[in-house]
Amino acid sequence: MRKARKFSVLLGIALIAAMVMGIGASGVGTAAAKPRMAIVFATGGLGDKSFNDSAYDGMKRAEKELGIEFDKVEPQAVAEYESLLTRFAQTRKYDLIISIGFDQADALQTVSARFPNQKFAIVDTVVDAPNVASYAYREAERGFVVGAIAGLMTAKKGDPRIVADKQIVGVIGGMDIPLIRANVAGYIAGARYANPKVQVKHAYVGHWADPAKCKEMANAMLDEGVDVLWLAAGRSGLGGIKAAEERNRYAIGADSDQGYLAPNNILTNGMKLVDNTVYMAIDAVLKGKFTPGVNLLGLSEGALGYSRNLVPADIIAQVDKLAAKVASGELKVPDDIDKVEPWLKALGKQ
Amino acid sequence: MGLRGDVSRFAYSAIAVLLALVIGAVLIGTSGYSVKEAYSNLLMGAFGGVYSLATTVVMSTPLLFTGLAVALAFQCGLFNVGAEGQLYVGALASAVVALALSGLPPAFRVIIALTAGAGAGAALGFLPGYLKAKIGAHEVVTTIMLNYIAISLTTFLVKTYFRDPGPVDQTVLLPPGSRLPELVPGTRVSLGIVIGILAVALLDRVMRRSVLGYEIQAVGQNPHAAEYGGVNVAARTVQAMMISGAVAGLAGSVESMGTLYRFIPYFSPGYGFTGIAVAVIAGKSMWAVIPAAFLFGALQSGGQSMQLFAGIPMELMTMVQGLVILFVAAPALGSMLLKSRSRLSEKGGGRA
Amino acid sequence: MYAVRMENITKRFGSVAANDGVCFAALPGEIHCLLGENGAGKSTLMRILFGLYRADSGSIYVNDRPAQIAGPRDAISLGIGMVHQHFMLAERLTVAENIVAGCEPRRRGLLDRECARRRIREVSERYGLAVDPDAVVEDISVGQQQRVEIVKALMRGARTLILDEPTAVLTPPEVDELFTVMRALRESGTAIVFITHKLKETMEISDRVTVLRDGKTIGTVCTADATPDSLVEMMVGRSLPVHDDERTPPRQAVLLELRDVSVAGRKGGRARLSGVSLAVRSGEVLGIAGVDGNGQLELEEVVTGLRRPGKGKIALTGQDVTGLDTGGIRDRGVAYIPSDRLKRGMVDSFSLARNSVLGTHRCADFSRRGLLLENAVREHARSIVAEYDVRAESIDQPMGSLSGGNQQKMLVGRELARPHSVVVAAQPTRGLDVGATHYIREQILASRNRGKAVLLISAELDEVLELSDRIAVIYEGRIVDVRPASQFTERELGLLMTGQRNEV
Repeated sequence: MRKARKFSVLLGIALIAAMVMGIGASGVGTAAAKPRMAIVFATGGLGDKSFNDSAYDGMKRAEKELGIEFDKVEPQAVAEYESLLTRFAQTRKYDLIISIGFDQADALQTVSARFPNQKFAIVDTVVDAPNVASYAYREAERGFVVGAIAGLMTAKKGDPRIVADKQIVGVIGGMDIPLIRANVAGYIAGARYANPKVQVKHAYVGHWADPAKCKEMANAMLDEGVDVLWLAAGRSGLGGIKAAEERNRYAIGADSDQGYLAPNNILTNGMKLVDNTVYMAIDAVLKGKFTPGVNLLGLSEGALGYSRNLVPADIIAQVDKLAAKVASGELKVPDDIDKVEPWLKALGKQ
Repeated sequence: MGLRGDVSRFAYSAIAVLLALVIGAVLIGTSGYSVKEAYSNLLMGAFGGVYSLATTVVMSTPLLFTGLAVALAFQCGLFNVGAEGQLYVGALASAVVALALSGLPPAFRVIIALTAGAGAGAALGFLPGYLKAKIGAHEVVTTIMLNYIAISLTTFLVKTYFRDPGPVDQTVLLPPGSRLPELVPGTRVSLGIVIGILAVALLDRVMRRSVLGYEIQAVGQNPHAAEYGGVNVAARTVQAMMISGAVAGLAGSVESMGTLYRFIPYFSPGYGFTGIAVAVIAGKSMWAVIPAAFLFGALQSGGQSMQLFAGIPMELMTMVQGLVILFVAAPALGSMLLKSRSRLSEKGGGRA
Repeated sequence: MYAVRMENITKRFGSVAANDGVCFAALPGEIHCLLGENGAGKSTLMRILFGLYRADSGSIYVNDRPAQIAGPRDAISLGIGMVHQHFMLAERLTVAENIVAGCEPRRRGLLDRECARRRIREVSERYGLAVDPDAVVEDISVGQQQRVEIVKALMRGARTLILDEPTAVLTPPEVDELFTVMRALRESGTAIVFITHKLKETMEISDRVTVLRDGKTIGTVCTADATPDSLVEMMVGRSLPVHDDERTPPRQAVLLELRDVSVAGRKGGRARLSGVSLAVRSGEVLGIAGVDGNGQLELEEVVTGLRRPGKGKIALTGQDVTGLDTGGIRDRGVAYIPSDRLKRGMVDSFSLARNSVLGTHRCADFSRRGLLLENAVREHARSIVAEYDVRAESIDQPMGSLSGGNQQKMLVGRELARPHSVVVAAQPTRGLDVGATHYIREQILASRNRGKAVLLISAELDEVLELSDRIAVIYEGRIVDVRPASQFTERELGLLMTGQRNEV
């Protein structure tokens, strides 16, 4: 025991000494031949078939088309973000370090201040710093588009996946936070705008990675007669898609094209085109157009959208018209659930 | 347990780490990555330069507390699997109290907030201790269940009562005066590590010199004899779980006050569970928790670089870390479980 | 021809020689006692023969051929079997499953239960070893479990059978049954090595005796040529004096009193204690005689607060202490030597020093402001070690590393050193060798002579008769008779203990 204590004390001394001596001796990076980027994914990790995967696609496209190289990392918990960003920044060999996901905001705020000459980008939230370009979305617009598809689809007759005469659609969000609430609000607005008779159910899983719970909630909705269900719930959404497939109803995916998960049941996907966003961020840096501050993206920038999958041609035509109205600014989609009904009333849709 | 026991235990652990790394090398190699690059990054990421060392210390700090917490419960023959949950309630309690007290001088704020974290952890430790003492509910089961409750409860409380107005479910950022002071500027090495080492020193003394420590160990080694010796077995069981919970709660306090500067739901990468491995390696010696926590901190910190710069996927990296835990901790854990099982069957008759 | 022969066996553990040039030989068809005090090296020697330890030097011959025994597997294949003091049985399995474990008769890869059962019946009938192959081990008595172990050894072809203190766990009738079996085995030509420290049994059953002391062979004698006294002298190296019988006349003060104490049985079963009333006076030993399992453990626990009485009152020096916990009762002046010393009396991983204050660690002598006074504790331990002749290397060694006799001395020393007026001594000499037994009985008498009230609970009738001033006989949880010791005959006690209450 005495030995262990002595060992501990020595260890402590060695550590402090090493730290003191090591100050200022951080890595000196040599300029790489090709532009080099780094990306820190959100905690869900690669394989979420959604957010992280989409960002990864954007990186790979940039690698191919813009001739960059990149390093990536998948953190396991929020507590790790700061040290991962710091380790990237410390090397001073990256032209841009990209943070994926809103929960990196704290860490990036700290690290960006520590490395003022390093360019950072963050997708999906806002970090106020002179060297950070924040890319956020007009979330409600995406909800609006898939909501409109859902509202029109549930009125179709003769489709075995549609519950006759009910006209109920649903949406399950990952967590009850403003960002997701804006999506839900947009969805409700879209569905009711396109089809005033529709009834919309909504719920939140409370976790980004709990497919089992999401499946349970989805089944409860399907029991009530929901026939088109949007899963805006990260990895949890996979459970909801599974439920829709098993019961043969329609599911709407989120973020990237999840059609392959249930080819006969994924109606469309509320695309957050993170790949385009990441690509745009890299392209901006390469062109010398890095813009710190908020870059708010939506349908008009091609950063949000929907995928066609099983959507019938007539609905595509109607929805594209609606989307164009939103993109042009003619329609301003409400981003809070409480504002949806007044908004519809104002437009005479109720 | 003497000096020789400790030395051979360290020798054994060192061999186990090496063995795990060798098998890890085979895995990395056969998966098509460069073993040399992976391990040089592991080493550099843990020890190469200020920031790496600092990160190792930062990641060791919560493990120091959770490891100490689990080791303390071991002393009373209890297996506290609930350090993770205790860490969460401790983290939230400290964050909330530190925010609420922004009018007080910083030193008071920090001390009261730390006390709140320890108190919350102790409260969560009380429950399994009480259930064990009164109705014999096995603490492994109850602490595991309480982990779920604690993690969900803290998330709920944050969302409902203590939420930051921003887009993320988390508390407001702590003002500088409510934080644990940074020891090495530009890193997150905070006073937490010092508090951790002081806690080790204090509890080592309590265990070896105090009447309380004597009684807790007697209960842990032979509850029947403790009862015969006039020890209130139920009370010591509850107290041991509460002390253990308090220490695990401090792990959370140090995270929220010294590293994250706020409470964020699901922030912990399993510090409470890794703490079990730390305690198993440390064995009966409180002091040995320090190097054991440092080992796992280094693995986590070095693992970051392995992933960042050697391109090792997270799964492979987690596997290498898991191998180390398995090799180092499994034999000791096995014998400990066997012992607790035989103790359990001995107690089969139930006690008064 | 010898069944087994061991020559110049030496085995060291650290600096201690457990066996030092020991010679031993057993003939086929004899019961050979290996006699010696605890720690004399008997078990070590037999563990070497059974391959559990390897000798540092020396040689072993089986049937006069040199044998290499690297493990129990070798020993078994050479026809050596051993029944350990602590049985090696899986409690949840049946007798048959336990017996065939490790050498299962198989048919098409499956355990052939029928064949196993048949073979067990054959063996058990031949030697009068009644065992039920289908009984689950945890349901059968200790005596039956021992028989299972013997059958197991015989089925593996044992021609030399080692029994390590087999009678320590048995009741007197079970001992008789065991001896019958041993005689039957002797008739069939099996060599039996019987490890014991009990002289009475040695004289009764053995053909020859080998005595060990301090790891050395003292000698081998034919039992017919030996007397108990001559064997004692060989074991301890001196003859033991008769107990000092000088005593103060019993005074009248009742120090411990039980009034109508009852303890309910588990789940409505028969009461463990019913209506027990006893009074122990200053300066007397009240002995409780009875067959083990008739309420002695409950009586012990109820008096010491480990168990609450369902009914009745317990008083110490006139004060009601009913319902107090053990700490409270002991603090009011009870020295308590528990029947299960390993389970109750000590923490075997704690040092002697730490064990020496178990129960007094909160006293002002040993702790202040929540901290143990290390020096006072160590001093206390040293004085017990010196005063009670505890053979230990250091007061820092774990209690569990001492021999049973020394553990008990330490424990008795600790209990008698604390302030007390009442001594509760439960099975105080169980499993101890002659020397330690003698010493501890002397201490109990000395305590009585100092005016303490002693409640002696013992399954050894000899002990009760030897030490008690008065004897209470317990049967099925009731006190069936209490009288001065001199008014009982041994036969009368025997009848009362077994429930055959004769109006004498």
